[in-house]
Amino acid sequence: MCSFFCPFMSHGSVVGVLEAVILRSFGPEGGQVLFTRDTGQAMLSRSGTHILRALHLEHPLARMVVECVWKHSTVTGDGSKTFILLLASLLRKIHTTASREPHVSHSYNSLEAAEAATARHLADKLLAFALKELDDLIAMEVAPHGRCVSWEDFTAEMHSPANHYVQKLLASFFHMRLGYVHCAFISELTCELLNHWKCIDNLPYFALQFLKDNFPAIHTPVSGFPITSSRLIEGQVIHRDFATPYPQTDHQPIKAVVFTGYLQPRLLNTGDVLEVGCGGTEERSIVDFSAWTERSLQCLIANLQSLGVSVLLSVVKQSAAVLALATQAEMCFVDCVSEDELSLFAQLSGATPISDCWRIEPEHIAELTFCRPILLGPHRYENMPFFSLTCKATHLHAKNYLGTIHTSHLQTLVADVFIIRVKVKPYSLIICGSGEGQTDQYACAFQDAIRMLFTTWEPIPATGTTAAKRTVQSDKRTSSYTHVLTDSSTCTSSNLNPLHKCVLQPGCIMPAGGTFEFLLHHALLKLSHSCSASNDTNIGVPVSRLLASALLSVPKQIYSHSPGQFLQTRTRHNAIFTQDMGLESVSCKYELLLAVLQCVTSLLRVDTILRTHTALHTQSLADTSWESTEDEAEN
Amino acid sequence: MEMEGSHQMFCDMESLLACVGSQCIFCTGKELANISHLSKKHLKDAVYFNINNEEKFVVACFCKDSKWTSRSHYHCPHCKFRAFTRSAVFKKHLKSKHGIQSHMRREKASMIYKKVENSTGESKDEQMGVLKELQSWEGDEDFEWEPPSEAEMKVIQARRERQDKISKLMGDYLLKGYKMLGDCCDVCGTILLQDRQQKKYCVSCQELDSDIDKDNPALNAQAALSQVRERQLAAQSPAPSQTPELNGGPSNGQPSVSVPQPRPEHCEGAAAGGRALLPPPAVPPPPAAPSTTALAPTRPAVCPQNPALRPVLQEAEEAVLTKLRWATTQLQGAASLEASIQLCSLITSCASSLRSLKELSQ
Repeated sequence: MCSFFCPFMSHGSVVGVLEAVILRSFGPEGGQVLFTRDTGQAMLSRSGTHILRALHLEHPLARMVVECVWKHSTVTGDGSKTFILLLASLLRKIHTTASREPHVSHSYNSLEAAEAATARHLADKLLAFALKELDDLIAMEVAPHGRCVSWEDFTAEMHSPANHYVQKLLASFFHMRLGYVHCAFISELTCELLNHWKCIDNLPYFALQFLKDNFPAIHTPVSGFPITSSRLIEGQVIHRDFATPYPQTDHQPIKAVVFTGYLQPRLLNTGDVLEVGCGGTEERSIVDFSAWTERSLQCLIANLQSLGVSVLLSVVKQSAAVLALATQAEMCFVDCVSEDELSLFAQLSGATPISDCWRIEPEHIAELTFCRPILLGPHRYENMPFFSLTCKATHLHAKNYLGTIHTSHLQTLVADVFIIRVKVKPYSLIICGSGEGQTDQYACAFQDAIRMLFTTWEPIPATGTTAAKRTVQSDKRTSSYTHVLTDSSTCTSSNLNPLHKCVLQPGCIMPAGGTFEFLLHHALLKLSHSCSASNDTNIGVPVSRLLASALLSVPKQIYSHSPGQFLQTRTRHNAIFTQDMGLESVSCKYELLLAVLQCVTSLLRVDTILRTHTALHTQSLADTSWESTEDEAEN
Repeated sequence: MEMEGSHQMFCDMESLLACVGSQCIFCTGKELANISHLSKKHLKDAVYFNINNEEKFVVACFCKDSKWTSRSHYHCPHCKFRAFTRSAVFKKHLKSKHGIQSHMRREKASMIYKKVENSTGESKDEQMGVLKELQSWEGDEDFEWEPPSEAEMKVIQARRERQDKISKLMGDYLLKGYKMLGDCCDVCGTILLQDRQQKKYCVSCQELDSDIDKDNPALNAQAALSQVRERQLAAQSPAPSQTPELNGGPSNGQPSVSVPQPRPEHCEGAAAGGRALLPPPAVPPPPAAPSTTALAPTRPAVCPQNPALRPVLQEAEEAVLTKLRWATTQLQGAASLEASIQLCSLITSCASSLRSLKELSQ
């Protein structure tokens, strides 16, 4: 008996099930999910991503959706539950519209095929609309109701208004994620961290990007303590203990080098062939060889001593001979340091790691203020700060950032970054939690908060072609466009001022609690009305109306416990701002909408699912030896 | 060209569907004019032509006007609806006399014909589906979507609620650690779950009432009542009533037809209708199963003081006893919980009906 698969209905039901799972944790009144493992580990979480990833899902569509949610949350850090809500509501609306009007240009074998085709068509139209028009709509209609906080205003001064907004934004984020008990404390700690790292560069969001990329190296989770013990400490924490006894040195600055390879050549690896005693008159043996390597090591250590290096960091585990020699020379040695910590070290100190230990240049030597062990919970770590002296300022390597800079900015920025030298005093974050799971949760919350801030302040590149395109389209308003996708865009763009270049400003925040959804809903309805008024031969349902009605599902859920409040808020949107439900970022919401629409499009493109008995190898896709796919017969 | 009854030319599906009714205007005998009949019998062999850049068609007719009532014929709209029995002759006539090029669409109609044949029952949803199919086939995009009638709304609402319930239950199970499989249940199409012991579980089959069982009179007393009531109404009124629809969901009526008598939408309505016939103090309805007690009142309810009622009461007793026996045998073989509960309540109400009938006869 083969299992039948009704594609269209399955999308709605699968997403409906996921919606039912996260619904009870949604909103400020939402509860937490307790996870228990067979090993006895328990964890409480309200994070949508955690909950969804903890479910056992074998259904391919469900896994696809969870994958989309996870990818979205690695970018923006927030909104995974809202993602599922919006996705479910959009699918329902599309299904209703498609079954109402199967707008077909070809003939289909069955009603379901016609509906599925209509749904796909609607989803494509929605996505096209969102990519073209949505950011302008938000910038014009929704963003003016919020506030733009510039990152430069966010200073160390605790009572500046920008600081207040950022703290409030963080507080509402942590409230939703971790609960109201500690959200104030944690948001203050995050603000402190941001303040310390802010002076990393003049470009505002580089600091956030740096923190986002290097967060695993910047924070240290310590379990067994209450969350209120979390604090910042000066310097970078290397999560390894000294391999050699630590000699107390008083002289500053402490010089350190980083080794990526083995100092002593490994004697015998598998597959190595050691030729001993060839081509020479003397008899050579393996003992001679190892004696030779030790002598060379001694030279190396003497070389390092002459340079004044007292701290050695290594990626790999060095041999006992190296450690012995280092102890003898009174050098601290730390091995098996993780790659991202070393890369952070290299970035902060400006010293390149040494690959060839025989050539040690001055650029390989880093200068530290102090280097001491620190006991955090049950583990002993190393604490090494950097302090920029006036003679040697630290600078950042630009190459780490080139990949992430928007191409339009690339030319102007490359020159600047190499020239700028800034002083930076690094601080590490110690995150404490009562259990390992809790600590992990707090660490994830911090990381997501930084991602959210980065998304908020990341400038959305205003392509110069947008304004030009608009003027061209408004001129061509009367020309006959038969392509369906551009029909709606010519219609809408004719209503916008062609010369007004609307760009969503970075740092735009607005009150939370469904404000964004209400405003966008009204804006979309207005757009659809003006669109239908101007264009009589409108094909099909204006997608803006569909999106508008789907958006309302979010505030409906937020106010699910008090429907009266929902109606009140909906009708009197001037009074939204009197309610204190916290702040949220407009850019994050915009990214969320785009991600949801893209997920809808890819979901609706799935026609059928084939079960295979064996795993498909990806390279076999190019080969002719394709693994045969067959419908799996049940038992 | 006067347009009347079967002697008319149709320009779109809407106008043809206006002919949906209890009596087909194209047929001589008593024929229910629902969409499948119209499409199978008349639309399938329709002849299409273009007049003034508008496509129109004439359907195959079996009316009394022509001397051939057992064979289909076509009425030419330009010749005062002169009848032609063969399509080829008719098309030739159109071409030669009126210069109209015509064609037929047999293939597509058979597709629809097959679809209608294959559908399990003529539920409203299926008819709506056929309607849409016809519409898309015609390429007629001017067909206005009609808002669903109240009955349809109830169906849609019930389906949506059921789907929500299923989703909620499945969500709860997922949070309990069940695994969501990639398979669907063979019976109802819901996604299957698997528990820790590798046992498969279908939420809708094993927990919720089946959609169809609600209308199966063999399993549900309410459906049985509704069937009885319908038969009674059909027997009472001379006009033919709609065939009771027992399968494929609790559908009632059709989109654009005017039903001669109101169909009982819910069994409460039927029960209320049934109860209204009887004077109130006769039968006190037990609170557990208010609908099934109406089984007794649906029997001809005349004033109980009439001695001629005795044989009627005996009949009623016999009927109730039969039902009781039947319910008992069903209960013995009942598999699902809901069915058992229903049967038990049926037995309870049968017993109380018997008691009250005995009181009446004394």
